Amino acid sequence: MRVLWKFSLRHARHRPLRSLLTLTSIVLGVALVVAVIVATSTTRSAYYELFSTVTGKTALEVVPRGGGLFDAGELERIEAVPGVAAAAPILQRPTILFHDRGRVKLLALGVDPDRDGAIRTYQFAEGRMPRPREAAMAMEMQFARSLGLKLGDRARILTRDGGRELELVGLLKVEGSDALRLAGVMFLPLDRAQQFFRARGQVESIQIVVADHEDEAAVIEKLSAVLPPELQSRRPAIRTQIMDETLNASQQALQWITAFALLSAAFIILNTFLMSIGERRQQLAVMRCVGATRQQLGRLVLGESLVFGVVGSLLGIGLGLLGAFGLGEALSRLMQVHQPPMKITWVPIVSAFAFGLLLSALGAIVPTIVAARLSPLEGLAPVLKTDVHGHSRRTTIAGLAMVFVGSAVLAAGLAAWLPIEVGTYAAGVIMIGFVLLTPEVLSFFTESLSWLLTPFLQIKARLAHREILRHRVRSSLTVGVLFIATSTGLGMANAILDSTHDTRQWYERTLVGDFFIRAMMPDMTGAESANIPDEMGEELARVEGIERLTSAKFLQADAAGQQVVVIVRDFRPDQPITLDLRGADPGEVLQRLFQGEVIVGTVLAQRAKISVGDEIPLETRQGVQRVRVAALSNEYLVGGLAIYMERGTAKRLLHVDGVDAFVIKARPNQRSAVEAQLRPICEKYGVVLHSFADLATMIDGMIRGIEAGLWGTIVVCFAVAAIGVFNTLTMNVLEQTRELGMLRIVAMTRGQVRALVFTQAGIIGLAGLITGAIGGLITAYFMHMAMMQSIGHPVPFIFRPMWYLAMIGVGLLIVLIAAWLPAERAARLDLASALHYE
Amino acid sequence: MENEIVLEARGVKRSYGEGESLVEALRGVDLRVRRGDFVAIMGRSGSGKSTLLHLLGGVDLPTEGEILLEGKDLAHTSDDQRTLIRRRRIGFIFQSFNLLPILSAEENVALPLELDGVSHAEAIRRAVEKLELVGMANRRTHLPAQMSGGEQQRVAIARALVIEPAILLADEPTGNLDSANGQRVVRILRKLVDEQRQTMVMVTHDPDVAAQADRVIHLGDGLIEDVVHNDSAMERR
Repeated sequence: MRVLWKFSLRHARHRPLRSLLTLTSIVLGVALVVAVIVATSTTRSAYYELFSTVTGKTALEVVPRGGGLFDAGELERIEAVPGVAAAAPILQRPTILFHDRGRVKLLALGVDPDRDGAIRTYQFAEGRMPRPREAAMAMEMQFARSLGLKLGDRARILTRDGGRELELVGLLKVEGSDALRLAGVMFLPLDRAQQFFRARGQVESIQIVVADHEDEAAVIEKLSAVLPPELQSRRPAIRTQIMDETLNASQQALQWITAFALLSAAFIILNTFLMSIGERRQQLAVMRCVGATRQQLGRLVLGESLVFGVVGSLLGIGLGLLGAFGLGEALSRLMQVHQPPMKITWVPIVSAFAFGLLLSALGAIVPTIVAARLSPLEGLAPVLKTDVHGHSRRTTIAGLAMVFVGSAVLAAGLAAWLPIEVGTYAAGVIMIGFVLLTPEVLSFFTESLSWLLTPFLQIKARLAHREILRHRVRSSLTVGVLFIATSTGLGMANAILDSTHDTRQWYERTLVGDFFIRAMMPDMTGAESANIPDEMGEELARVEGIERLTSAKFLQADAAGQQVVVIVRDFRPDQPITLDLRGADPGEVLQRLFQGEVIVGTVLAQRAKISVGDEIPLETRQGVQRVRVAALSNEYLVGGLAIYMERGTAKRLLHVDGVDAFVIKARPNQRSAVEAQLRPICEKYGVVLHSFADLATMIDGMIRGIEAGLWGTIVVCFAVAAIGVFNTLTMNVLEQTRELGMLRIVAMTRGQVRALVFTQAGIIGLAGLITGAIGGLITAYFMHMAMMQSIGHPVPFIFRPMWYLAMIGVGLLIVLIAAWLPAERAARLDLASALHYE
Repeated sequence: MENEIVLEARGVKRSYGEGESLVEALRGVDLRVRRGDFVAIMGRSGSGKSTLLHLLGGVDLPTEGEILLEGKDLAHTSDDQRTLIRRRRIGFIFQSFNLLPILSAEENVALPLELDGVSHAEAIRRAVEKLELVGMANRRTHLPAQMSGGEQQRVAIARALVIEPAILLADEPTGNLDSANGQRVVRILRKLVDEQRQTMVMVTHDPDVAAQADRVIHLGDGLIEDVVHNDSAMERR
């Protein structure tokens, strides 16, 4: 009905600030959902798409057991197997490409140009595929442009053979999302790749296209019959577990923040609509008197909420897409990957839109019911009984039930009976439960605080306390939002601060040395790494002033059903182990390493349910080998899925050679001299030289970045809560207009009226902040327990009482700032018109 | 003392808006109220009577003229100073009672004293005294929602009296009451004037209520049209 829509629209215009606040809650909630989904899915798909670039149309692949390389001569035998339509060898290596604008990490795919067309479809915008033995490369056109490269240009790549120059002879043309797949990939002839990466006559896998109407399982059987025992045929394995683990941790934190924002938004919408109904109560009662049905009024309120939902969702989607760029940038820096263009599909857009509508509708359900149930007589009364007497028993029972059930589910998650991800939902349920219980305990809190404040504020404290209880539901919701904001913010902050403290302690124990040389920056996956040229090791050995030169090699492997990174190190009998070992004797561990045992990261140990002395199954050329665990270590790289192995053992089991990184310790007082010699060597080979101080600074920078994000989160938490306080106080002042007018006429100065409003804010604020701080402490403790599953070792829980007090103080300040405008409005009331306010 | 001027308005004008939308609510009013006077102000709707009452109480400021309360010009004091004057020297009684619904009767009455820094115990003691005066001491702990309109207005009178005001200003005190309660309230006001020499200015549209006053000022179009002395009322003293 048009007249009803006009009624709604005029009311929204009449309260622009409140309408804006309601809209803002929806916009923020939806924006967060969109930003998190788009950014994390783009980052994740960058890896998955890279994988599918490599696999192409491959249905099966032949690979060596335990990883590594094998003789390319197997290709003929494989092609002869019935059911194999095509087979193509491939050798892939991460490398660094140097160009005018700098350097970029990318994946070099060595392919057989004659056979590869059966696996991957190439369309060239310009040029062609490199020919066999040609020192040339091809790459996707837009990616090349982003590097400032055009057809015919030459660029250098880093190989074990040193820096090698290639000519760009082909620019691939791809449509739409396929461009995403080829960003960060270059193609070169297989024989050149074998030469550059010291793998003559060898390949990493042979990819197979199965003939039409052939059964893949049958082809696998036939292949197994002809292949030597050290090779296996299988469906292509997705080697993204390590990336997944790393991204999952960030995604969980983002989901937590999103869940909190949505929860708070729902309560703010609920509170705002209840206020809106309360303010229009008499008008709605008049409408009932003149003939409006309950259903019409109910539809009116629900319709208003859906309008807010639609507008808020549209704005939120726009803001979310902008936010996705920033968030994606932050995630790519964290993951040390090239960030592809944002992959925006209809799924997150539609999901977020539906979410916004649902959020708005959920927040408005109770107000809709309130409006529909209003009787004309009741509505015309000056004060509703429920306003004074407040909550229902059902709400209390529901609150208790939610706290109980949520706690049980959370406990099950912590005990690993349920996936730990359910902990987020369980925590949300517990928080909602506490909010529902707030009306029950509100008078206790406000009376206690009023009693404490009375010596300072006298009658204003008592007036404020009574006014808060007069609108118990509204006040409870406001305290509830503050509680959620504070406990989430402080809980996360405490957990993250303890985590970063633990990380700092880890790298102080593990980064021991003066210099670190690697082809590329260490990334959070730590997995694939570009090789350092072999002759560089010999040059480094000739540098004067070096006390110790050790090397490391990183490779992906399969152990105990997990994708892990094996970190091969040169351990020395006369040098201590620089790892964060868990309660083990370093000397004894060192001896065991030389006996073929390994050190396992705590996350891997937890997942595989192994401890010191147990054996861990490791996939090798000779099949599955069981290696004994010498010790466990805390590991923050590669998601804790690491195995440290002595180089001799690695050579024997995994046929490992080559170096990915050097660690250098200079003699005392010779550090500067050593650095002066290292720099030109590193520049010559195009590798990165870091002092450990630089590395520590870099890690510190990352940690500070996380902590800065943390403070930003806390500010957002408090800002959201402040919106709730502002809303409530504005409504309180509005409803008290006539009373405030009377108070001003009879006795109160403007300053006293301001103080009255600030006192209300202060009591509500402290009730929410103090309970929230306690909730935050409990949240932090449970987050620590949950982290055990993610990082495999308990992080010491540090209680910082002064920090909590400081946060309560900051929160109170923000609440009082939020109260400033309502207080000023109250103080500036026009007295004559206030007396006649209805 | 008896002839002391408590409240005086000199050439008071009040207008709103400007240009074509200019409204002159009062166009030059002169008024003197002496101690112990009971003055009623009457007039049609829009005559300016409520505006005049607000100006007399320092709730509003005149566009021109002076308003002197016990010799102090309300029009040329700060907002805080006017508030303090209202708190300590002027008792207000409103048509809609305007009690705070969240406070009990005695707490409502004690409110101006507590806001002035009087201790809670002392304020309550004095409040109860005034409630006894208006016959509401037995309902001292009741909330306004638990009282009838007449009872609420009596509590409001007690609140106005608790500060021992120089003058009581009542804006349609019987406007929201039935005739019986209205008469009861007016009797209380009259009694205050007669027995305690309370000075009072009351706005009313009810001639029967106005008849209780010593002097009735008729306002029309922002000016005093007539002043009628009620000899019978004065004789009753």
